[in-house]
Parts: sequence; structure tokens; C-alpha cells
Amino acid sequence: MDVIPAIDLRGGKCVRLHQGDYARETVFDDDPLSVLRRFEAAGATRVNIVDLDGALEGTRTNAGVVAEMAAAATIPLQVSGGIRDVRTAAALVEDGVARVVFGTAAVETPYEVQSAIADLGTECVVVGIDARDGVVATRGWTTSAGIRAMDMVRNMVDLGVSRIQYTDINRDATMTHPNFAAASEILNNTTCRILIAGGISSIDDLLKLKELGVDGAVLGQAIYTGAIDLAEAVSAIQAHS
Amino acid sequence: MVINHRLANIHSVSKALELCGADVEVTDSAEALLNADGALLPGVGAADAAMRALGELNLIEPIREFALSGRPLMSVCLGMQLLFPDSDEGKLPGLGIIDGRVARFDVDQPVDDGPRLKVPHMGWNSVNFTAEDANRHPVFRGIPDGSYFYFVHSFHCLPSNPADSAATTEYGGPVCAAVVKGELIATQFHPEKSADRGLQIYTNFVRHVADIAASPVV
Repeated sequence: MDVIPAIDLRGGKCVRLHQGDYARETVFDDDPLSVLRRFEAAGATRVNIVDLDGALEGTRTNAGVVAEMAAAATIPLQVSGGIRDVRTAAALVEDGVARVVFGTAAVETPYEVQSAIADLGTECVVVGIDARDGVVATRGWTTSAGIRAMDMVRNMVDLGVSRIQYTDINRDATMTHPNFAAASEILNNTTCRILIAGGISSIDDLLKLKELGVDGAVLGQAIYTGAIDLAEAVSAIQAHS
Repeated sequence: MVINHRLANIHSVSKALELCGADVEVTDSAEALLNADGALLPGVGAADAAMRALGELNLIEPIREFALSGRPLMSVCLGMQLLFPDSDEGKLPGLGIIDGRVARFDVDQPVDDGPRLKVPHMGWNSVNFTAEDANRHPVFRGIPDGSYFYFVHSFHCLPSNPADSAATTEYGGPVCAAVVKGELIATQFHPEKSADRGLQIYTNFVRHVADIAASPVV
């Protein structure tokens, strides 16, 4: 299982929002590149970059910073936020991004996801399903799509999606536990690989996710507050088989 | 010297080399290449597009000449595949510096974690070297067998001479992960995306280029 620290970008800075509330922002670092270097040094095998401005507006405000990070990264990156069409996704892959995450576009224009799979290959494409009370939210979590997360998962698997990132919004930045039930439900009902985000607050949470067969765990708040030591988490997961 | 055929992850490679202490210049000039102490041929994308670009930039002969000059030339990913005479991927001939061919992964072959081999082979995979540490090319010394490196490729190299294969990984069977022939060093994986072990290879390369440049001409 990949332990994937997240870097959330807003206005070129590394920030955290509380449960996706754009009014409740904390700036963690002015220099996202130095955060990336810290994560690399801690032994992370992948980093998740979220363009929060992009997620909200659908335009990739932090594209320059993301491209700079993609060039500088010595580990593979996945990028989400504002990727609404195959052209944007292809440009990111060209910049050296290993995986692009479609969120809003997967709900509103699923054919873009299908084209991305055809053009870039299924390993490059992740669909991010962000659920609030089991219902999919889009546009930087500001809009409810009115579709049940599990139905969305099935639709995406039918489209040929092989990897889904499931984020539980209610748990995001809350330091509780991840949504183990949702992880199991997806794993038991589909063949796709799954990344889990939201609420992971301890190494025990990570070990449990690994035991369930989760492909990757995305960490935000827990590492920024120091609740989880990234290097310790990476070695604990690698040692645990 | 990083060879710029405009179709590769030039930025990632140059940044990584700088991080490893290299004085990097990105060029598409044959003259600059032939004056360099060492060179790196990056690669992402399709074989024909890359060979066409190298042809238009009049770099095919200079790269061959550089490779024969005994100065270190490192090739990465598609860069490694371009060293072979031809590839299943395209119609244009490759650089033809190493004997063998480049084949597509057999997608019908079953693998451990699924019914079929997923192509591209993308992600971290463990690499074993064919030689003991002391007998390896200096660029690969000190890298433990079983180290993980980051791969993205749909085609793989089949060197005719088994001695040219420096390392293998497993993907539906053994797959050539690195090639060494004299001072020609190539990796199928991306050292620039393979964390510390990858940077160790580039650091070794940068040091080796300096060593060769400093040694008296025989």
C-alpha cells in the first residue's frame, strides 16, 4: 500500500481546509516545493497534489506551481483539482505527472474520463469520488451531485476505470478514522483498486487499511499536525505484510 | 549534457541531475554534445516521434559518435529503447548501438495479481543486477539487489547479447531493466522518479563522468 501525503495548493501556497470549507483555511507552508522535498526525504513513494483553486473554479490556477513540482519531484505524483478534460490531463502527464485524478468531470462529463483512459492508459487515470454522507460532491465539494457514491463507483468501473480515490468529506481534517466500511464495500463489490482519503489519524488506521487490501492511503491533516510521523508510517507499512 | 529532442521529460531529468551535483546543459546542438564530458538521452513518448525529432535535429550520427568515443552516455526509458536497431513500436530504425530488439509486452499473458498483464507496466518494481556489486559498471555500484525503481513502459528491450543486460525486473517474466555496454549505460526505469535509489544512480553517473574526464587519455 502506498502511503501518500497530500499537498493542497491555494494561491501557490500549501494550505489545509477544514472539511473542504474554503473559509477555514490554514496556510502550512509558503513553499510547496520544500514540503515535497520533506515528503521525499521521509520515504513517501507517491505524493498527492490538490489544486484547490482548480477544484472550485475548473481553471488550473496553480498550474505553474504544479508543473514546477512535477519537474522537481523525484517520486511519482498524482494531481487533482480542475482536471475537467482529457487535454488538461494529457498536458499534466506530459509534464511528468504519473496519475491524474478526475473528480467533477467524472460526474458531469464522464466521456472525458473515457477518452483519458483511451489516450493515456488506465494506470494514469484515477477517479476521485468525494462523498458527503454517502452522496457525491463536486466543484471543490461545494455542490452535491445527487448521486450515491456506491452507484458512482459502479458507473466508473463500467467505464473502464481501474483506480478510485474515495474521500469521506465528513471525516476530512477531523482526525477521527477513515471510512473503513466504504473501503470494504467498494473492495467487496468491484475489481478496481482503491485509494482512501479523509480521517486517517494513526498508524493503526493505516495498517487496517492495508489489511483490507487498500491500494493507497492519502494523508493530510495527520502529517501536518504531527499526529502521524510520515517516515514512521512508511516503514510501519513496508514492514507489515 | 542532456540531449533535447523536445519530446521528453527534460525538466525532471535535468533537475534530478542538478540535485546530484551535475553542471547541466540542455542542448540540441551536435557540436555541444560532442564537446561534453558525459551525456544523457532522456525519453518519453513514441519511438518514431523521437527518432524523427533526432533526425530533424541532425543528432543521430553525433549520438552514435559520442557513444563510440568512450565518454559516458546514459539513456533513460525510451532513450534505452532507442539504442536498439528497431522496435515493434515504430517503423523507423533506432540508433542501432546495441544489438537486439524492442518488443511489446505480451498482454495475453496471465500475471499473479490479475488475469492479464497490464500495459503499460507502470509503478514501482524491484530490480536485480546481473553482476555482483564489485563487477558492475560504477553507475550501478552500491545499489542493493531488490531495490525498487519507478517504471512506465509498454515495450521492453531484448538485447541479443546476454552480457549487455545489466539488470532485470519481473513483469510477466524477466524484463530487461538496464543495459551496459562499455560506457553506454541505460535504464528502462526512471531514476529521476525513483526517490533515493534513483538519485544514487545519477550521483554515481555524475561522479563517473567527472572521473572519466579527469583520467588521462590512453
